[in-house]
Amino acid sequence: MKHVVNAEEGRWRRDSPAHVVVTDLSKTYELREGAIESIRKVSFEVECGGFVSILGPSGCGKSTLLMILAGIIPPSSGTIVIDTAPVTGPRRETSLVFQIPALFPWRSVLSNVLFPIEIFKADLKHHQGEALKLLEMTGLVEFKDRLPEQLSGGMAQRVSLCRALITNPELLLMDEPFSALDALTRDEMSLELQNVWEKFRKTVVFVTHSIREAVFLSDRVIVLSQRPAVIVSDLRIELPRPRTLQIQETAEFNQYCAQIRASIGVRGG
Amino acid sequence: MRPRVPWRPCADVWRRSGAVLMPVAVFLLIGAAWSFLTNAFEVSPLLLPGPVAVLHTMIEERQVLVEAAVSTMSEILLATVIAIVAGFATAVVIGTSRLVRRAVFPYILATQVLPKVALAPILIAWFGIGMESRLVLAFLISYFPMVINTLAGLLGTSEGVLRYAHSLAASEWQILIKVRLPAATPSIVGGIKITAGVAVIGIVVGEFVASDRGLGKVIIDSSASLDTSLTVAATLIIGVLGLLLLGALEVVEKRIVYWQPGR
Repeated sequence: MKHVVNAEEGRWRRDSPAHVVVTDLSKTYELREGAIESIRKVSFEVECGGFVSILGPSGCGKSTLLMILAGIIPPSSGTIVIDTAPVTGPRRETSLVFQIPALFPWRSVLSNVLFPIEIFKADLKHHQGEALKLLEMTGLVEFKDRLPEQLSGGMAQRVSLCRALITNPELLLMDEPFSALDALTRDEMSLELQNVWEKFRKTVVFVTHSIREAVFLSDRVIVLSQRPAVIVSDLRIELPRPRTLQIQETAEFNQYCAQIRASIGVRGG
Repeated sequence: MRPRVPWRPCADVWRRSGAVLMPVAVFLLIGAAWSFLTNAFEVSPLLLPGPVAVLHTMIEERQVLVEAAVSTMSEILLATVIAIVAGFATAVVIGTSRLVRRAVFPYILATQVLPKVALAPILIAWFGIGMESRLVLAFLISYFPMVINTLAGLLGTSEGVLRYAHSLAASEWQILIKVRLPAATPSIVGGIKITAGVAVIGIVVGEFVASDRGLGKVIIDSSASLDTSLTVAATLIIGVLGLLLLGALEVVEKRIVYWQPGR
């Protein structure tokens, strides 16, 4: 895999959120048992500072799509352009949050948050203050010296969010970040993520299989079909912000959910 | 860093002293049983002298024993260090390059499959009766576990953590230093413990066949002159040296892999 290494501080720090243009993106895995077409000619655009969810059934290739956006997996064809630059590999202006927190078990919470700064060879002292601010904001500051094994799932995922934000990315990619958490923690994390987003206004692409989570968080929900994934609907969510958990009881909210369910072809519920 | 266990003085003292007192109690018990059995069944001291006789020999022959022990222990340490350094370096090189791994690994496996003790006559022919032969023998035995353990650690890094590091566009060097090696420390330290343990065997067997000094030579000489008491004394000292070595490594391990779950 080719890496774009750019150690100079400042180069990867930009204050404007990213504008993402995906054009005719396809991905086919060539396996010994034959080719598997994962994504077929997907095109969409994410506006600066937008919160877009990508929703689809399990195994439809939505995570693959996110990994392609991150530059970790190369596409079979098609292009991704962020601002004006095509994505050819991992970029330091993009941060990823995975389904599992993927923290380093030998590092304390604070040291985990600072890991990208070490990799980018940026000023650790300066960023330590930033890291503490992020931990403060997510209610983790008194756990800064703990080891990951001493954290709950929700706390670990918060650390991983702080770690993604410490580099001040212009694009935040989240791959089902709350799906391993219990329902109550999920709600709490959704609220928190909304607050973080309101505050930082990053462009966010959020992959999930939860319709309610997608509607609650997003400006826009893009629904993918079964494999090979194509876009079956692209819905703007016009609910007022900041949203509270109670909004989930409103008719408007449930109408959006029903509309999305209908587009995937799920009945009832 | 580590979770604090609530301090309960009574339980604490009991737990701490238990760690020392229990092994001592077992030691005394074994000594007593040994003494009782050799007396009750009137075992010939040529076969197994009682513990008091062995202790007596230890004091009487202390000069010979201490000198031999120092020689044996320094060779064990030297062999261990050489095996650790060489094994670690090998593992890092073959862990980083699949091509080198494919080319070299069968030969590393071969060093493990070959009965090393069978090489002793050749080693003596090559290196003479002396420390070199013993070190080579001990190295051949202890190199492999270090390579295998380090390699398992380096290649066993969790997929999620690696993918995260790749997403940061980290260089292969950064991934090795900041991700793979720290993640591998439990396996590496495990490898060091096995390596040290088998280095003891390597050096002592080496002293049997290339006998110019050391506790192995004391054992061979004393058993040839039917001085069983000295044979037993030297054997016990080897056991104690091995325990001290592994005990020290255990302490080091607790400091290095403080973060491992279930510790």
